[in-house]
Amino acid sequence: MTSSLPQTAEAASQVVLVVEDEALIRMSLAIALEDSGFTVIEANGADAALREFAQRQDITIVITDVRMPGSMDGIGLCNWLRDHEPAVPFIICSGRETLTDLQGFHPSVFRVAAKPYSPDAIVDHVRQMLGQPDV
Amino acid sequence: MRILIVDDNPDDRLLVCRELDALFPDADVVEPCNLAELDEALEADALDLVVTDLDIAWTNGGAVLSAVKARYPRCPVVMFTGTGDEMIAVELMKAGLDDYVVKSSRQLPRLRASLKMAVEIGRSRVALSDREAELVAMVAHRDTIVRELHHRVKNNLQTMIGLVNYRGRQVDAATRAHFDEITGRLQALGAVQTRLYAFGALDRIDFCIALSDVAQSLAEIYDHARVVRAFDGPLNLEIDRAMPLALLCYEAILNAMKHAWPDSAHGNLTITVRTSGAHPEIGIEDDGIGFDTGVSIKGLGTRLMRSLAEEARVNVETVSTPGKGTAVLLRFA
Repeated sequence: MTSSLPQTAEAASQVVLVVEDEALIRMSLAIALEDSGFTVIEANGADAALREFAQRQDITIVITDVRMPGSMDGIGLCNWLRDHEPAVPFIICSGRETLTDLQGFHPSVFRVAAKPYSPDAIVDHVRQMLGQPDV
Repeated sequence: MRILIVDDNPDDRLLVCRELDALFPDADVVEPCNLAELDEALEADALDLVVTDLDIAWTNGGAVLSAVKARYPRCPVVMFTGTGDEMIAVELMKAGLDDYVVKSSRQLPRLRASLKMAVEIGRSRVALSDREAELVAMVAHRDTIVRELHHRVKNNLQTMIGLVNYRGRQVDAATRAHFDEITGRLQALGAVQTRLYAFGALDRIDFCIALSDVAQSLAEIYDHARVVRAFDGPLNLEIDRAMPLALLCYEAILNAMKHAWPDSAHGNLTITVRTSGAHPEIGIEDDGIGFDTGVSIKGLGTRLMRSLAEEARVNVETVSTPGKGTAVLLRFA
């Protein structure tokens, strides 16, 4: 459980990009991550996520929904990451049925979190993927 | 209406034309006299009826039948021939011929009825395949709605979990634990919802998979317990039973996680599904401290479990001895 954790310099330097079209879901996830000390930037779809990547180079990990409006969905965003930002790991939030769409990805760079998830579970995933100990 | 007559005998063509004229005076009748004209006639537009001879100087009835059916599978074809026999007729009927009328004075009266019937069959075929296309479109539309609805339910559950989680961050740890229980219950509902959609049938589910998801989500929170699953087969359940049962299992597993091993001591939680007996049975057994079942336990958890058991139509039996763990058995009524 991850409430009221002290901000750590290590976590704060990690920038998490949360890509989710539903504002309340995005907000609650962003708050859980911020409470755990991460710096969070939000995007309401894959198009906005690509704009973030065009503007900054410090994004350490991406958490994305699958079904989102716009020119690209979450799977498209993952494909883009593989081709343009292969070092950036990502967590894809969806049912396990998405797994078949992700067969071209190395398991070390992605995880699947089934919706509905606990925001705390996503925080744990982020920590593990970035090699931080669980708190 | 467009009708094709393929016959190299002009007298026979005239005979057919007369019958057609009586039946369908406005029909446009095409009479090709060679292969090129036949191809042209087939290319030009759809046909409502084809009448063909069997032995034709420049082709044969079987080839005409194949060419017509290849292009217009719903178009009726009647063979009007002075040659051939029953065997040939049967073979051609298998290939899609609608009727076979022999050019003889005895069968001639049958020709008009045959042509009329063939056109009606053709029209019913068109109506039927239009209806079929409509149904296919309706099913596709229904699938889209179901997919959207499923997506909506999952996202609404996710929103609720997010909001409860958010509020839970602003309270003390003890209160926070209550909030986490609520999100856990919402997740248990989500697990059934997700599996329901993935299962394909929208009113049934393999409960074992949903149960695994529920156990997994709790094991991620309470990581001091090792969860062992022993399922002897799929447990196919209707949705109105699976939903309360998932919540019931959640409560039983949560109780074990919270109370079986004080001070987060490590232990084993075994979840069994036995489907081989007359009535399926689910067991949730821990090797923790146990409790005295003679002492009545009051609280939301107990009351919740009673209501859920009633809805899921299972009998709950709790066996526990202090120091020797607790087993909760859910027996299907």
